[in-house]
Amino acid sequence: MRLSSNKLIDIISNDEKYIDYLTSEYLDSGKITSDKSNGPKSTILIPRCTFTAQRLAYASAMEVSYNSRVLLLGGIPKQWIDKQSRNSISSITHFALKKVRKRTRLITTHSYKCIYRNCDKSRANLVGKVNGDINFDGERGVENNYKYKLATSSFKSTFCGPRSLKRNKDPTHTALGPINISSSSVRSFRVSTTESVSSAKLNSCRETNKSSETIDGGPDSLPAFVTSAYLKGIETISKDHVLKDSIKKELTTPHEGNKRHQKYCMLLDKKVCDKKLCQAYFDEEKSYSIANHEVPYYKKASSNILCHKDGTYTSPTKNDQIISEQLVYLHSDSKYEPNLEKSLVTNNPGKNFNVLQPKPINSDSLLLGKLEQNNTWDNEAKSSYLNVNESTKNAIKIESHSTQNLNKEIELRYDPHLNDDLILMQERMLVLVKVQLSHRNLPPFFSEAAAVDTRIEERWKEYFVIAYRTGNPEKPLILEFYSTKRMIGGSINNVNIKSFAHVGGMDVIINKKTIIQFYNTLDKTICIQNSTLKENYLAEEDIEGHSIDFHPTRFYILKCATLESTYRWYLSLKRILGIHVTPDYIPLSIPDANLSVRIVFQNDTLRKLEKIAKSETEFLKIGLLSNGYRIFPCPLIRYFTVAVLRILRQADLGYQVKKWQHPNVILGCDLKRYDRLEWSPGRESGLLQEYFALSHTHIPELRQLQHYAREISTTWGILTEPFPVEGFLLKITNKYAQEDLLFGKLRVKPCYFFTVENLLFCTSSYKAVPILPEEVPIDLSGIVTNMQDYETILNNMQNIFEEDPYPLDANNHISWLTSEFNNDNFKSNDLRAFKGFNRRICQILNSDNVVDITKIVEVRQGCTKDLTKDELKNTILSVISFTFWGKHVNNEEIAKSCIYITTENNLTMKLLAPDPSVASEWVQRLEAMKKYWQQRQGYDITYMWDLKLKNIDELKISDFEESNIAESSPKWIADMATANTKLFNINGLSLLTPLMQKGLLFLKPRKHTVFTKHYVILVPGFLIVFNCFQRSLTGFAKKTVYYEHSKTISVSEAYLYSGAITELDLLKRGQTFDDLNPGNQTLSRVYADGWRSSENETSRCFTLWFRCKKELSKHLYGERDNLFSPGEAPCSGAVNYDVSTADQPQEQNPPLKLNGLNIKANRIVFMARSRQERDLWILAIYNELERLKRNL
Amino acid sequence: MELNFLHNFNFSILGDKNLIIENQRGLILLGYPFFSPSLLLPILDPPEFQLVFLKDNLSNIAKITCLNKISNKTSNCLDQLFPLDSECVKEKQKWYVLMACDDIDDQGWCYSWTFNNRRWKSKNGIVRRRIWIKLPELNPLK
Repeated sequence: MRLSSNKLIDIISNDEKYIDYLTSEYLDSGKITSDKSNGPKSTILIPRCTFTAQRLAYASAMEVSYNSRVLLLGGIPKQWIDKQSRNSISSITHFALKKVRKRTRLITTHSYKCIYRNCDKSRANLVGKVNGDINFDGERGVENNYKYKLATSSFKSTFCGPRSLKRNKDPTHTALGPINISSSSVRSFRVSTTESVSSAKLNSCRETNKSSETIDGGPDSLPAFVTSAYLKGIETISKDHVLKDSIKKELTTPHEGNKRHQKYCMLLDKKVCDKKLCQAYFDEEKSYSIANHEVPYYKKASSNILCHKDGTYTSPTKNDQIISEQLVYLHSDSKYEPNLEKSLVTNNPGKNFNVLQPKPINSDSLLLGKLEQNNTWDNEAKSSYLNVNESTKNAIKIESHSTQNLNKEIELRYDPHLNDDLILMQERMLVLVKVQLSHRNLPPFFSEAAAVDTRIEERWKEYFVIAYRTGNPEKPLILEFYSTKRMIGGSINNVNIKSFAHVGGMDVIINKKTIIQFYNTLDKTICIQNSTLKENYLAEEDIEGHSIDFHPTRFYILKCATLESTYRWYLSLKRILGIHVTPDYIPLSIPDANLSVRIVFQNDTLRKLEKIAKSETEFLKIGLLSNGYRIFPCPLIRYFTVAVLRILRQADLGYQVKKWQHPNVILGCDLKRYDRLEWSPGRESGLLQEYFALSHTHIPELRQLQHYAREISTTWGILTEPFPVEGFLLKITNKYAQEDLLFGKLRVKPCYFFTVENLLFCTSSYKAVPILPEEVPIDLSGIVTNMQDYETILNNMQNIFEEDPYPLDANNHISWLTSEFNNDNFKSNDLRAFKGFNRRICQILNSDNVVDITKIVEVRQGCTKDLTKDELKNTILSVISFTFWGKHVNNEEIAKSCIYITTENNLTMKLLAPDPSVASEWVQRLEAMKKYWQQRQGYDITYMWDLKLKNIDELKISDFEESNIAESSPKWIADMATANTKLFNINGLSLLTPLMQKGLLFLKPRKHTVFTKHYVILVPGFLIVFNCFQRSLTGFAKKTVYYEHSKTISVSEAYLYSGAITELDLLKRGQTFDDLNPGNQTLSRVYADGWRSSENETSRCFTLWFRCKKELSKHLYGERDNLFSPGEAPCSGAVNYDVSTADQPQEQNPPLKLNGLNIKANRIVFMARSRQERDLWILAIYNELERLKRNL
Repeated sequence: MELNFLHNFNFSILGDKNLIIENQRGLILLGYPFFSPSLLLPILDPPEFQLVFLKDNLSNIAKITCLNKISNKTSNCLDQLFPLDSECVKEKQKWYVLMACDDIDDQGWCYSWTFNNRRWKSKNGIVRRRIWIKLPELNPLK
């Protein structure tokens, strides 16, 4: 059924219509049948780069509010207040807690940057637009102070790339443009004329999308730019001589020589220039764009564009226009912006015109010679190329390039090491190289499941990979690998310099014979299958006795740091091969209705959606309903939602998605592979490209976003998750639950206990930052800045104090996010919520040990009977309690203030609360948590187990097949399987709770050791590992009450890979014949909770690869002066470009250093209990990596 | 002595099932396990496989009796010989490694210095053993 896309876009671009459409039976005629009882009151815009917006984009206000509430029991002890307020004590703790402060500062800066940095960036661009709306001046100071420290003390990979041009980010470039032809774009043009041919060469110094958009107040659209606005501009140019003069002046502006500018070259015949645009040539500024569309382009020219010797062209076919439109959409894509060459030749009989072909990257004698020798090119193509070449040479002359400069330019273009224009992409990544061993024919798609005998030529190693455009259609792209930290680049004549860093033998030539696909679709490793060998390593080696004629195929497996960069590389390389990477339709699966809908994108639908998305980049739109909110997802998802609703309603199936009408429902898209759901955090607009990349294995779905449930229904009723509690307590026992030490000595330690989900963390009271009242000013870490003035408030705190940064009103609205929306109020409340959340993360990072609440057997309060056992001890405890709390309590109260927590291994931890009422409160709440979380854990296992059984039953596969679902599994199995959003929820994306993932994992820190069991939790930015056992000298485990902290791993600079490739990090063991399960190499296991599975080792493992901290700090600190220019803060993960100009070739390529490469690396291999748990861990870490690297 | 070992395991999920204990001797070097049943000392060590017959519920470990005299040849055809209960034979069953112990390695092995030891650990030892249990197979075609 064909549906009008314009109608759909009209609906999603109008807020009221969109909400009406969702909540009512909106018919095609436009009539709304149902009432507007829960219609939108108004729509408010909140800055997208705020903590609240990040949460509300994925979760309802109720979920956000409930998950943010924390209770403080017992108030603040006197000793803690003294420590904060008295200089003498604080100075002592200042030195003792140096490490803690450093870590707290680190994580605070980390979190702050992740959430608010984009805001600061955008504010710089949006001076005129949102000035005064977003103002975090109070916090920016903190950020700036931390900036340098963070970059130097953490594992920052700041380095300088081999190409040393500062990118054109200076907004003055746009201001230099003399003609603002398009009202919605900031571009500058250069026009040159000849005697017979009026040619206009338009050089557009294009800013990044964001800046140009924001300055002009609206997004630009390329087709409009090509077809109408620019043409009008050209007409104006041709008529207005004054303007022409100004353009000529523009030719001499300094930025003319800047080769990084985006250039639009047009050569127009004077006779027809006022009619139609003949050709535009795009050379994007973005380094990851493509110029290698030359290949299809030239062919297109040979087949469709009739090129005559007199320089005239006739019309291309309709297909060309369609392709062009598609390309134009890609061009306007903000994320995967390609470099396109566009040929728009309009059929205009009787009018001849000259067309300047794409700017002659390869317009030199070398290529011409190759063209003439190349028999594969037909005469037409040759003539078109020669014609074009002549025209372009003219154009170059007109541009007043001297011959010397031209030769130099040609020389530069053919030496990829010396010209920055030719860099398509550059990034550091992990690379593994495999070589084929036998003559056997290769399968069409090489992946981890392919049965090919290979050996590893290069193990995992971090390289700086540069993709160079050659300009040669036979080998359009070369991937080069740089491995050392030594100097590269340099002057033109210094030939040897590059050999220091460049690993020449690894170069990959990308051409039509190259096959590019994903090696593993879970960790998204890219595999480049290349059989074209470079001359310098052309089968010199004789592999295992094969003849020298045997040219082994090489498999380059690339592991990018983030999914975003992975997709960028993958799609760009695909485009190089001439493949159109944006699908024209998408088969969207609707699990709620149990059907699939095919959504076809007509004409410029995607472009319009992109335009709407750009207008919503800075703000999150929230519709205020009479009860709750309606969050506006990205336009593509809104389009899907409306289109699906329309189709279902027309088929009378609308009742199946009735729940989408509920106010707090948020819909989102994911890609499903078997039982795994991969959400696209922040990449929703790139979903189509992701779908293209993964269409062989995944299916796209439109689902309701679901969170980790806060309720469970049991036979005796509904259990709701208790709110987390925190508070100071005196810990009287040690980890072995011993109350008395040697000689009857008491062991009392003041601690701060706090719960997060099912974990009871414990940290020293000196390191703790408790919940504080709203009036008390705190910094980002939660530390009180001015304690003296607020001592009375802290001393008089109630026993139960609740922190609720998102209070709800009767309409389920956040009280400070209603129709009376105040920006200042929003700013302060949002920051307070962020501080509260960040404080909890800091507490977890500083925690010493953790008790699993589900392992608790009993929690009880002390009674007077305990007093009789040891009265002297209680007397001592009362004195200690007075010292700590500043409150007098008698012996009987001390006995009643004790809390006894008994764990599964029959150990009892004894804690002392300030008074019996607080102890009673602690006991009640811990008991409720124990009850809830034991049930919750059981339900989680049941969900996973039921899902497994359901898939086994429905798909008629065995347990072994189900356990080892991988790349080799057929797509029909993956498509037909059921997935559960309760398991693959989006808690990690929405930052609802500090814990993103938790559980028991086996891990080994190096290859030649054995796996040991640990309790691992993932918090934003860090993996925290706790030891499950305390061992004696002989290695036997001792019984302990809690897990002790072992290590904290920063994931921000790590690479993650999984699947068959982790076999490199595993040892071959258990290869003997299995008598009990003959013919089966896997080990079937059954666990205490009833879970059974039979995975291979590789199906359970994933590896974190990161650079050794010591080595990295040595490289960074030792050469810091060389790395950072004065006053410039280093930025992570990106290339630092030094200042250079086009007129100074020696400065254009100054010596640069690739720091941090080729140094010792650590690999930690994790082994989960099952494939399902491994998938959960991998996706959680990936989402976190994505969040960190996107914003840092 | 098997009672000492079985104390480490949580049998709450098992019910009336039959167990096999697998024994090996050797050591771990650089992460590689050099363990083998052929290194078991003939008189001192138990055989490679030991059947644990259950008189009553497994949760009551005191009633377990062990049959030590099972040769390796017999163990090769255990799948057909054991259990002899006719009801169990009807349903296709499969042997699983029991992972219901806290201090255990990723393949279900527990390590110690002697087989007669009460304390077992997840790494570093010269003897190791694990428990196999026979459970109904997860078969979609049943």
